[in-house]
Amino acid sequence: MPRPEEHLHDRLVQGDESALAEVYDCFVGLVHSVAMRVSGNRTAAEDIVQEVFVHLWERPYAFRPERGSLRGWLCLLAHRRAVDWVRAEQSRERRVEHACRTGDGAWVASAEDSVLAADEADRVRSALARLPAVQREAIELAYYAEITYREVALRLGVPEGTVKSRMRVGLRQLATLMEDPAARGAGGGTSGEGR
Amino acid sequence: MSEGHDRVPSVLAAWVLGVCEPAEDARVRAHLRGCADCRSEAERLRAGVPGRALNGGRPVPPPGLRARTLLAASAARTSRVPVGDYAACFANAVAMLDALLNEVMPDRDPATHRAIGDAGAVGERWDLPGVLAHLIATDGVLCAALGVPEAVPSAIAAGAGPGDPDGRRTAEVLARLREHTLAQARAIWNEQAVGLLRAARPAPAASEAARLADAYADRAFETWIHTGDLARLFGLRAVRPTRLDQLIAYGLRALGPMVADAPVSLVLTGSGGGRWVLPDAGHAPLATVTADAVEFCLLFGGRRTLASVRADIAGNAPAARAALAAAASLARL
Repeated sequence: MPRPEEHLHDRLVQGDESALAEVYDCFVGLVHSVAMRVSGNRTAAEDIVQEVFVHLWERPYAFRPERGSLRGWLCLLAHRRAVDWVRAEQSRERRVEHACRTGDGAWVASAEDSVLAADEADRVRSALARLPAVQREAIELAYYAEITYREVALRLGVPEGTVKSRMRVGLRQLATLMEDPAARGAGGGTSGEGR
Repeated sequence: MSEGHDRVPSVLAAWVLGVCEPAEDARVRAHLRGCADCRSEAERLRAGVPGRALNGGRPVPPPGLRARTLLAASAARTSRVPVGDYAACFANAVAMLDALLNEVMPDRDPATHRAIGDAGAVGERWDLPGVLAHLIATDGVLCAALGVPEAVPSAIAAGAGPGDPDGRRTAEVLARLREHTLAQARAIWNEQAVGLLRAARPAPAASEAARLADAYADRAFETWIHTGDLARLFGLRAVRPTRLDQLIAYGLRALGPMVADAPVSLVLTGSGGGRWVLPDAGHAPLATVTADAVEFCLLFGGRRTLASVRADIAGNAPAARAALAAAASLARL
């Protein structure tokens, strides 16, 4: 792995705040875009950006330069946090729906921050949401973070062939879903893990 | 043009997503020109990739987010104490160990909050309780010398008496910490180390400067070496001190007089390194020793032996080996 990132890691570990500022300036656009695309929510994306960089600062040893680039690690972190946010949001929405039906949900209308309301984005997100988690992760990291499949494999600790296969099975299913959003689970692609 | 067809279909999805290595990208492109099957498969997969079209109009992070993030970050770690440059290496080493402890003893881990005695302390000599007790004991020696309050005052005078005073002080601290949790031991170490940093005023009196530089480099050396022990124990990366130059200068001040009879040239490579003639530049060296700067410091720190240190020697071999042996003999950690 490249020496410059090891040196940057040395500085982060030794509490050099200017190293964190450098990392922020270099990767904030990417981290923000991953968070934004997965969550579709501006406020959530900003919170995720903050969490990701604070985590790097607080737990610098969690990043292992020998296991891939800082860029890849930050994207993976942003992706996971964003997926967690979406899940929490979905369960909140279910609670809200329930509250509406039971009559005490008057505050609901103002709660939604649908900044990225483009139909297309919603369609992509809802199609992605239907993929099995491992396929979704492989494709989203490629889509949004543009991390090579080799690095995704390295970071996740799985063989390259598995990542390629997840991407292929996932994309096929996504293609079907995008043509026909009603075709939930179509293509039988949910179990393909081998090559 | 069907060369390599077997390997292309498996990588096609990654290629469509644009996440192949450049060489692979070229190979796939070349293959697609001649293979209709793969071309149609690529088209099929591409239908699942509308995301690229969304890249236009990407929302940008607001400018205020930078300040907010950096502020939240500085609250998430013990903030740095401003110190005189001579103590920078110790400030770095304290931050390094603190970061490592954030990683290996998370607050939510029950082991962090169990009494050290109950947890069967001192499995390995340099495990968490052992290292914390040792640093509390040995930092305490400098505290006593500087008039900074000692966390666990000891009746055992530093460097005096028979046997190994540092070892006996460590055992004493460990015994007194038995009822404490790891988290408490960590806090005691940290508070005392920060006390030493606060005492490291930016501009010491000229008569004090050399003594203080050695004293703080000594604490930095020991803290860094034991952080390395813990990193090995927990499978974490060995971090290179950014002020290695200060640790080397400290080591060479001690080594110089020991090689007065057989002068050597020392070439330490990598950041923090340099070239020296020992005991001083006025001598004609009999031999040259070349090593990575960290490797040489590990010899000083007792984590390499004459047999295991990776060093190249040229010229008079006995003189070179005598210098390495002298460096190894300085280890007392």
